[in-house]
Order: sequence, then C-alpha cells, then structure tokens
Amino acid sequence: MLLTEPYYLFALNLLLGAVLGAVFYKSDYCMAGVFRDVFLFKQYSLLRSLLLLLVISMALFYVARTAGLVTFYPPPTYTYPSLATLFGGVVFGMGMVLSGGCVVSTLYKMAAGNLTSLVAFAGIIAGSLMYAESHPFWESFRQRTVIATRMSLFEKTPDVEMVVVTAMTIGFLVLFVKWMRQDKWRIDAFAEGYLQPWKAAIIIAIVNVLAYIFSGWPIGITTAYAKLGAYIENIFIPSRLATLAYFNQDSVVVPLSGSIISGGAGPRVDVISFTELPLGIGIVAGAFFTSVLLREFKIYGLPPRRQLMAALVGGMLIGLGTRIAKGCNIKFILGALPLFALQGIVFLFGMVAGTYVGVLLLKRIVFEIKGE
Amino acid sequence: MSERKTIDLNILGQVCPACLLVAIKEMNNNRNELKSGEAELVIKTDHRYATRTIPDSAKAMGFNVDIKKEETYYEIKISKRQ
Repeated sequence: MLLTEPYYLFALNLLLGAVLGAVFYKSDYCMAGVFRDVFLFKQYSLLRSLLLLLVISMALFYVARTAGLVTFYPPPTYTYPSLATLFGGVVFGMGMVLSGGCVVSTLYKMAAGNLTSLVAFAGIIAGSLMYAESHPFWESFRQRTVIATRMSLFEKTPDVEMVVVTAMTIGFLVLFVKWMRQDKWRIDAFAEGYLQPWKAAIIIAIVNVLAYIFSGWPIGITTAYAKLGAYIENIFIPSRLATLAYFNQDSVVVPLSGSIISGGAGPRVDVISFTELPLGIGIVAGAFFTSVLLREFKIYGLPPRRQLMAALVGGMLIGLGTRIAKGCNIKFILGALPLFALQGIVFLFGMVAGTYVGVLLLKRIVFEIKGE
Repeated sequence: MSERKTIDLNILGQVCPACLLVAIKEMNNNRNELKSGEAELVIKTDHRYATRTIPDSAKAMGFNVDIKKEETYYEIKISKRQ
C-alpha cells in the first residue's frame, strides 16, 4: 500500500500533518506537559489518554501488519538500542521540560504566534547543528554500547507477540470501559473549541497507522529539523557543512523493488523531503489555521528573560538529545513503543529520567523555588 | 465590596509550566487578601493549556474561579469562594 510517487507522498504527509496540527492545537496535546506535570504538579489525568493512544496504536499497527498492509517491519528508520538511545532520551527529557514543549508542541504553539516556542524552535535547529559537529563521536559510542542486537522484543517469537497484543488489547479495553463508567476520561477545560484528549488520542493513532501504511513508517519529525538546519548552514558556511559526515550520509536506506529509497539530514531532496518535512509544515499550517479560526492567533512579545533562556537552552538540548538518540518522543513513544521496538522502551526510560532532572532544574534555576 | 482591589497578572506569551508556576506564586503571595475577599486576581493568558491548569489549582487552593475569553486571550478571575 506504499505510496512511491514523491508528490503523493508529499501531499499525504502534508495532509496528515495538517490534521495533527489542528488536533494537537485544539486538544493541547502536549506530551512534554503530560510527563512534566506528573513530576511537577503530581497531575496524572493526561497519562490516561496517552495510554489509550499507545494501546490503540499497538492494536492498529498489529492489524495493519498481519493484514499485509505494511511494507516494512521493523520500520527501516529503527536500529538497535544503545546507551546513546538512553542518554539521548535523558538529554531530550531535560530539554523538553526547559523549553516548554516537545518537537511537535513547539510547532503548534509557534504556529499560533508564540515567540517562546519560536525561540525553542530555533534552539532545536541549533542543537541539531551542534550535534552534527560531534556526530563521529556519537556514532562510535552507539556502536560500542549496543544493548541488544535485535530491533523488537518479539522479533523472534511472533506467536508470543500475538498472545501479548491480544491480551493487552482486551485487558486495557476492560480498564478503559471501567474509566468510562467512572467518567474519568473527561478533562475540564475552558479553551474555545477544546478537543477532549481521548478523542485526540484516537485521531493521532489513526494518523500514525495511515502514515505507516502509506508512507512507509510511523511518523517522525526531527530529521526534518536537522535538514532545515543544514539548508541554513549551507547558505552561510557551505564549506564547513561539506566536511560534516552527518550531513553527507543517509539515515534511512531501504531497498524497494529494485531501486533504493534513501534520505538523511543533508541539504538535499530525498525521502525526508517527502515525509518528515511536509509533515512538519502540515502541523504548522494546521495549527496556524485553527488558531486563526478560533481568533487566537496573536504575537504577544517575549516572556521574561529567564524563561527565554530556558526555551533556548531547552530547545538546544532537544536538538542534541534527539540526534544522539536518533529520534524523539514522536518516533519512539508514539511509534516504536506500540511496536515493542526496544529503542522505544530504552528511550522512554531515558526521557522519564530526563524529565525528572528537567523539573528540578526548572524549579531551582528558572523559577528559584526552594524545597517542595 | 465595591472597593475590592484587583491584582492584574499578565502572562500573555508565556508557556507551560511557567503560566501555572507564576499564577501559583501570585496566589500564594496574596493569599490573605484573596481569601478575605479584599482582593481578586485577574490573570490574562493566551495559553490554552493554562485555562485548564490554573483553574484546577486555584480551585484546589479553595478559591472561586471565573474564566472568559477576551478577544484573542483568556481572562481568569480568582476570588474568594462564596
């Protein structure tokens, strides 16, 4: 079911991105917020919709795979988990808390005119460029610290996977129905046009399985940030860029019916230009139009200096962390985790630890809150 | 109650969790005046997330909360619980 015509691929990703942008904006589905608020405010209510999103994704991915709708399993963008996956997750988690958003929430907030998020966006691009300078070190670190030489938990035991997926789907459905009876899904919010997070979770899961079927793999976005950075660096210091290994190699290489699909962060038109890039543009466009329709688009100016610094540094950490780990929360939590890919599991541990550290830093340094 | 003092807090352009942290700090700093009804706190925010988190926290701290949308932003009024 894979779309191989680049323009179709571009259009599909743009459309999926626009849907995501609108949904993320309306529901304020900020994954940074979900994890951060657990540590910062002991607020757990949004974790439910994340769990819903993961369980639906798991079931849909599995059905799509067993029905033969998916071309690649495991997705060619995945690799073996290493300590770099864990460490990148820690750096990313810290950055996400400090900047006030992840790679997607930064986009949808920026699209509504928020300058703090724009600064974080610039930080992410800067962080990606900083990574490119140290890429050879991390590449050898990754190779030396591989944790497991398999991609996914059930790679060699498909029967076990079937049992686990079935049992988990049924078990969680029972739990979800129980929560429905207890009216635990509804989130009270005043924002105009608010989309309940559980509805957002269902839409996001459907978008992701559509991406997997038609676009080749579950959604990802951070290589697009690096690519954008590469285009910018190529304008100012092309001679430097030409020497950087990271921008001269592909991060995805897949043989497909005689030809090869490839793409990477370099300033070239390749598969990333038809997948991640339009997805990101779509998210910004979708969120922008939604904010205009709700009459909420407005530029209010810059936040206090400490918050601005936190957004910039946080953005850089996100850029560095995602490149070290080779992915972000979108790729790993929304895609890899429901596929039981080990990178997703390892990244989650790192990200949660990083979120905890980020909350401490935010309290002590940015807001100078002492004690509890 | 006519001379009730209004404390304005403008956090337009700020994102999470700054919005909530700043709001909580302001509520704590003016706790007595807010509790006695001498003053009310009016927060201006454009951050949709904060229209959920700030009222939640204010209610948990025992205040009355009113929210309305003003043009492009939201105004959250925190006052003494009746």
